Amino acid sequence: MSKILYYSNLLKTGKISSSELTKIYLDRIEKLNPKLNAYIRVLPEYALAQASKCDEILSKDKSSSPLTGVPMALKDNLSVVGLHTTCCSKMLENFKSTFTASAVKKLFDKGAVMLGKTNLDEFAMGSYCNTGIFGPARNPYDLEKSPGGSSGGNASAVSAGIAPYTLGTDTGGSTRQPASYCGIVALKPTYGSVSRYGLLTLASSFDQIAPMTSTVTDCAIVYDAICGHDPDDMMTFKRKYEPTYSQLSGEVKRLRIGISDDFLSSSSEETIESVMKAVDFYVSKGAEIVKVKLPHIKYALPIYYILGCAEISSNFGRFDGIRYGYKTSLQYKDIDDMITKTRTEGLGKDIKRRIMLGIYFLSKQNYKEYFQKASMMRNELIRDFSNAFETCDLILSPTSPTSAVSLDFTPETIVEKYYADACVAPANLCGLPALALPCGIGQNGMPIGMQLMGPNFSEGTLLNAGYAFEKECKPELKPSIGVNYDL
Amino acid sequence: MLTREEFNSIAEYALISFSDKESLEMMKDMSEVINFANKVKEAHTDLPTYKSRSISAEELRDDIPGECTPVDLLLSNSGGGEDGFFVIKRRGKNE
Repeated sequence: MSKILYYSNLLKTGKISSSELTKIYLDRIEKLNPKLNAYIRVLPEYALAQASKCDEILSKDKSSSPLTGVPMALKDNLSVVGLHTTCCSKMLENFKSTFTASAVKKLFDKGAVMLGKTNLDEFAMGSYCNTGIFGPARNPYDLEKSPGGSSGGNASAVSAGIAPYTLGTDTGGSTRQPASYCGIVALKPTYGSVSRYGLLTLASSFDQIAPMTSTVTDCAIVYDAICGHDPDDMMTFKRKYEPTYSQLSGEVKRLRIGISDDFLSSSSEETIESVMKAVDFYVSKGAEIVKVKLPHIKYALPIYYILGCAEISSNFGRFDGIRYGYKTSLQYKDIDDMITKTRTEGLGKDIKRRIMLGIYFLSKQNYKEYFQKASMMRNELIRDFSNAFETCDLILSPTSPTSAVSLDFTPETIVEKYYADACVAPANLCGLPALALPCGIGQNGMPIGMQLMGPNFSEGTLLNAGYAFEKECKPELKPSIGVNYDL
Repeated sequence: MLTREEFNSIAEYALISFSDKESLEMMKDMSEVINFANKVKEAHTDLPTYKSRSISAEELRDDIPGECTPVDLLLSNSGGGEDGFFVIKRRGKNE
């Protein structure tokens, strides 16, 4: 059942006020967050001030948005004016945003109440939410396991019932993979359908702001609120966005669902079993299964890492200790020395590696064979998906090859870590929308997630297909720590 | 494998310094990723030479000048500045 609509109904019928609802959530956070570390900053005064304004609005206007008065949380790489936005990095530990992100502003305009900022991997780079300066977030299903990354704090908070919904960011699967690990829903929108203005950028042609919720219906409501053209992000499309909430019929008869063996081959047996049960469900409802071929998909991860690192190295040139952020307190001999010391002290190991790799791939002697080649291959992959979507309406795959890994998981090689992104990175590479939702339970009680990917602007189709599955087959997941959202 | 010389040159461009131990670790990690990235070299593409992904001029926002961000706000994250400027302390040769 939709949490947002449940709370909205209580608020509009006067059974509870936004201030009371916000206090309930603040109490839950106080009780559970020390174990989960999902929030790195809780803002009770801010939240209650917003809630109080919402109570005034609700007392006069019962037809306001379903988001009015309902609390939420934001990943700490989304700007809110006057508040810290740290990206969980020493580099921005004391940085206060000078403006509010457009997507966040849209939620505030609809009366959303912000409880606080959530944990992430440093600068949103990582898959396990364990590289940030505030310590790792934990998975509510097993506190010794990772909630996924980089939006691990968001996933942990929604899963444990200490945030009704959150906004995360997705550059290479950073909302979908944690959604899979924590048994929640995440929608990475079509690139250009949600403004990136105010998102502290990682890789500009990959980043998207994404809702992370406990149900598909909630995802649709939040997406409808944040999508749309924004003159402050020139990559957003000027088009009519049809509300996806009104497309949730649950009807999937004659829906053509593509399956690619490439996405299944790297997955665990229990993941494949859960995903194939989802396929059986859709077939039983009249959908048609189509085998699709994506000839260049095996190059997706190398392409992603070449182009991603190149964009990161360019974007991170701004961190020089001059205009904002951390600045070294050591003596320095000139400006280059000051900047070098600042960046060496202020940035984490993963960031440094990606910056270094980006410079390598963009260097004069390597540019053609890496960056230019990867850019061409990216276009080939876009063409593969475009061809596939002529024979199917969406592609179904696992979200992550396995269920959540241990917090102290140390892969033997750096590259082994990257394979966790095999199913999710292609959507970012090609700008496609992708919905992640739970589809099964692993042998140790851990959630297993599936992903539905579609052509540009097919969010309505994806959400409807997800809604159909969730209505009848949502797995009975029980986190070991958490509260039910019912009041 | 990335050479030491290449690594040092990249670090200089990146304006990041590494200890000897960190350098060895970073070189190893980078070499692994570069080997992984080499996979793209195997691929053939039928597409013509890559061109920039430009967008139509109609998609761009209009050039409407807005208010400048107040200087105080710009300086607020760098310790307040001095006389309206960012501060970089000069260091002489003998200091």
